[in-house]
Amino acid sequence: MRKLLGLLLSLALVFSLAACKSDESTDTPTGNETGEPVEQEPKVLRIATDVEVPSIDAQIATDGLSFEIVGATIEGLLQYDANGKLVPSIAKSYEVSEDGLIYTFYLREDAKWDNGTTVTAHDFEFAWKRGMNPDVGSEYSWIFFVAGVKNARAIYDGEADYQTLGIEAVSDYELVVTLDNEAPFFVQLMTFNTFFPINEEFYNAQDGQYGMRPENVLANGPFKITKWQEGYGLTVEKNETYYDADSVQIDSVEWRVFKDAQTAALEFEAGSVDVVKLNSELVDRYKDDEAFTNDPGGYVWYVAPNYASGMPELENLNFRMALGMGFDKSYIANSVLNDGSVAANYIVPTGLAASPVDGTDYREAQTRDFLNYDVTEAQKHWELAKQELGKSEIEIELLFDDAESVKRMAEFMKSEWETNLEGLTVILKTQPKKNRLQLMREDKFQLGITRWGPDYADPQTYLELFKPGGSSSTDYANPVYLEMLEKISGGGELASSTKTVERWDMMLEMEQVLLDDAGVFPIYQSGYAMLISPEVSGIEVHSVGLPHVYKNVKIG
Amino acid sequence: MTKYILKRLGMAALTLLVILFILFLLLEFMPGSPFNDEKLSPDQIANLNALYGLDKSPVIRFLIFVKNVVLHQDFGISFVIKKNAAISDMISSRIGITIKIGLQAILIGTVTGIVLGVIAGIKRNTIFDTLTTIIAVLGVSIPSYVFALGLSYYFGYKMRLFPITFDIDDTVRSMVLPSIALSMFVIAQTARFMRMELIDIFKSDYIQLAESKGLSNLKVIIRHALRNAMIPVITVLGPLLVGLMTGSLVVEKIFGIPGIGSLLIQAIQVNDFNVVIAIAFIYSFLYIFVNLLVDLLYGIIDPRIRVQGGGTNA
Repeated sequence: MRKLLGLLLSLALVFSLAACKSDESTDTPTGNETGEPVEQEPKVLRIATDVEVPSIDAQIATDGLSFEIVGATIEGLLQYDANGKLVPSIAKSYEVSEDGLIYTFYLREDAKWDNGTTVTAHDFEFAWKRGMNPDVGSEYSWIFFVAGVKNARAIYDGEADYQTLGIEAVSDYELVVTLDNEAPFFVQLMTFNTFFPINEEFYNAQDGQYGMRPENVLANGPFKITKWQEGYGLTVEKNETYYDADSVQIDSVEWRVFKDAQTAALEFEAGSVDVVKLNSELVDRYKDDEAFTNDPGGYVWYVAPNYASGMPELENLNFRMALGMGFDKSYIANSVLNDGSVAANYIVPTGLAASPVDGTDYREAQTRDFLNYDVTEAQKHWELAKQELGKSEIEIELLFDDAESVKRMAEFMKSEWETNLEGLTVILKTQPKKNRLQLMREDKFQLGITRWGPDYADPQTYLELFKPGGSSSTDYANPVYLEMLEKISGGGELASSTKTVERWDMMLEMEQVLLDDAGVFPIYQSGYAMLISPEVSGIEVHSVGLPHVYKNVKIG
Repeated sequence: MTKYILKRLGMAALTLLVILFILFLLLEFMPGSPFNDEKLSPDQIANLNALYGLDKSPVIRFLIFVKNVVLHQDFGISFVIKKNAAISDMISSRIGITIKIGLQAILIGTVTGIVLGVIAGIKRNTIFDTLTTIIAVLGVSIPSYVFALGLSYYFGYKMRLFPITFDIDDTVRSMVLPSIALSMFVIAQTARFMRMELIDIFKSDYIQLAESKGLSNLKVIIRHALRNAMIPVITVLGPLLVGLMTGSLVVEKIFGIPGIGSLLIQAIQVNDFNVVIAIAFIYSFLYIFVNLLVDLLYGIIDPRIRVQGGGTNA
């Protein structure tokens, strides 16, 4: 009994301690009431994230959060500015040979790693070859052959050694990259993580632990990683050795993991985080809040018909047109999702790519929309389809993820299609995302709701999905479209720096061919709905590569 | 006694192996792989599977896993959550907080539960008894995430007594709310059992004898009733641990605690095979170990059980 009493007493002590401490903290003066100079509070940007940080290794990272953190600490050859314009970074300039196959980058001489060593061309050569080294297992190694880098395809296929990759440091500050074929968006890819440098000497000194802890990586960018508490958060602090350190106006950025959206929002309201991403339930609660912001994201969601399924209906244009036009996308974006997404009557998203002629966005250059919601038109196509197919009733299966928002979207589409198109029965098939992807890869579906995020700022990143074996799993095999795709792709007759205008025009035409044929049914373009403290400004949002850039953030 | 303990230990090791093997098979039957990104082509997935040895059959992988764990205490590497990191490092940096909160929950839960149960048992059919029953019913029926959210909202956000979520710079105060949220289930169960046992015991002959000998009420309760009532309470501690484990998954998620519970949830969601297996292994180990401990404790409190246990296969 005495022991029991002791325990109770110690518990009581814990509680009273807690109460004391909170009193203390509320008593701490925060303002400068006495008029004496107060030491300035460090300026910290605090970001709530719903996932843990998977990697701080540029060649290993594959997700948006890792990209953000790597991008805050390491700079590549080039970077995007706040307006999405390509500007110099570690490379102060570059030249392209006449045939467009040799790029020579001239590096700035004042770029330093945070251990004091200079960033050299050798760091890029080492990192790129590491990215292609099969033992490293970089999931993004394919991006080297998308960029057209010499021998990348052969190395990937196991036919050449990774040391033969077409990159060479001619001197400390001169880097030469040789391409197998011209890739029109090669320079844009230089902003992507996988192409970032690593100091070889430092890497070798880590004994296989590179990227495992903050002390196992080097930074050459605006911030350096100082703390990584797994499952809890990661902190970067201003990097004083950064060549442009003077323009960085905050002291640190903290990412804190909150796996529960409700408590993350509570922390925002309590003022302990500055940035929090919202899900659709929370958007409703906060959309009139002054901290609410909404930016277009890069993901386009669409319904992929499986042309390899052997289903005769999918071969019928009127059937596809009826489906593509027969559901209300705006309702999905604004009511079902309500998270900043917008209806997509297109496949190449807004804000992705700019015209080589005058810099207009692809979406503005494309003068019309496709497959707009139109019940009357959809019904006309539907009647024709039934006549042509000789059927009055058609049954089709729709495969989708078991995420709550996707489920609601699929249920809405079923009800729209079945109401608008008489005689159509839609069978819903829900699966966890990983299974859905697997089923689609194995061609075991009829219609599938899926999405794509861009890898580089060129329409090709979307247009090349729709081919046999392409990543959309549609196995779309329209010969006209495929011929055009070959022309604009690396090695094709328009993939040359002298033909950028013709290539651009053809890419505009390709979207017309694809969607006039109702090859896929676009649904919406995702948005980033967030709460950002009104004290914070200067967070840059990009739809490609790094989702958010914090270099130019100001607080207060 | 030694023979009995050794036998139980052997059984425990065997049970662990069987659990592990079933886990390997179950994960094998789960569609998908750790490499789920829509950007990956089938060729790449095959390459990555080969690089990480996932192309081998589950039986071979099981044998390799057992060998690595036994010989090198090596649980392999994570494929998704922290790419290429050693899982033993990931777990050792997180398991402390999970165990700490679990132990605090057991402590708070059993102590409060016993006190409530004793009061209810002694003051039967009074307002105290009714209150205890209400707490017990609430504790069993309200899911721990509702408790957790409620505690976080009222004591964290509204009253600012404790951090809303876990704060690594203030771990002592941060652990109070999660421990209480987690202990509700324990409080409810212990209070209920304690009350029932006490009521039974008060009716027994030996208590009536003690009372008739003129012992004071307090002495009767402490010397005679409590010790006997503790036995069933200790037996429910084993099953309670399961409740704590499942509870910890939810409570860690809500309070943003970097423990192994929240890690397990994420690992299952993203098919990080090695992490799932390692944590499931640890949970199974803890469960089996605590049950063994409970059985042995049981024997210490009630020697009759030890005698029986030693002679049979119990």
